[in-house]
Amino acid sequence: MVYLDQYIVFSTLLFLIGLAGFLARRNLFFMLMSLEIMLNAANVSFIAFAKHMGDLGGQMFVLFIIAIAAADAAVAFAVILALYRLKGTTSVEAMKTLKG
Amino acid sequence: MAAAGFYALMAVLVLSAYLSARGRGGALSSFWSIFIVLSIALIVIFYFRDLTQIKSLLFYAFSTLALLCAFFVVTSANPVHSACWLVGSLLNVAFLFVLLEAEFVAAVQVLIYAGAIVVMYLFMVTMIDFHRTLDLTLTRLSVPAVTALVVLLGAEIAHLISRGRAGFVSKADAQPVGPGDVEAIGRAMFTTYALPFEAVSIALLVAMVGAVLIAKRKHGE
Repeated sequence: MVYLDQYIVFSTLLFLIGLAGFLARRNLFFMLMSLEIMLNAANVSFIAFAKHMGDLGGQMFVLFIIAIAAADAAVAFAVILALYRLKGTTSVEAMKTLKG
Repeated sequence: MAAAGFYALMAVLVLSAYLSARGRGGALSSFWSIFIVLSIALIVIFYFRDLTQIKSLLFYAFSTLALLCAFFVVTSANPVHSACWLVGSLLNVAFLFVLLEAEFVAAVQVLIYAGAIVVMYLFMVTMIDFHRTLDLTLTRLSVPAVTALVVLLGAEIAHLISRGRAGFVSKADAQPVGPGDVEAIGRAMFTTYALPFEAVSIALLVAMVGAVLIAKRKHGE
């Protein structure tokens, strides 16, 4: 018998791991990985609430989140590639100016 | 008794993961140990037959594995190792979705998240030279700041949950969900959620065109 609390705590911990990774890594690629972990944690929370409230809408939302996360990762990949060609590196320390 | 066995297996997994992070065992060996642990989990499931007794155990096992894999995603220096640990985390979360009776979403997560998005990350690794980047690891100043922020946020969320102000009534796993199978989701997708469905398809089209446009080599390059 697993309570809703436990799923929410797990989702929070996963989100915090992703958040810490996003803030502490100085490379764009690893920041993207941490972003995926954060989205995954939100998905877990949605599904847990969908089961708790008996509503299918939580699962529908997760499907849309996965699709939008795929689109977002594709565009982020393109941006990282363009920035890498421009600056020669993917470290955010090099992205200091707004001037392209 | 099975719980003790599970925790012992997880201790073995942690040890092998630690050794791999130190460069002794190799990331591949720890990946295989995850695979072995999950296979043993499946064997234990079929042995017990009655899943309601073991649901709590499965939840703890898969959630611990998912957190462990996420931790190694964040702290790996090698981008391919990081992608492999991300696959592990996504697969464990898919198991949790099956525990939550959302089988279709679990299948979609494995197919699309672990199967397509992480593959795209590996393509990224082939196109970016990671040896020329400034640094791959955590900087000296950011670790204590990020730790403080994360601990503060965790404490705040824990406080909200324990006080009951998080907006949900806890300690109740009672209500059965409607059927989460493909038919119910398909019916809901094309009736109630038809507009978001069309909007997401347009968003995917725009993302496809935009990604090609942004990453294209310009003239004279």
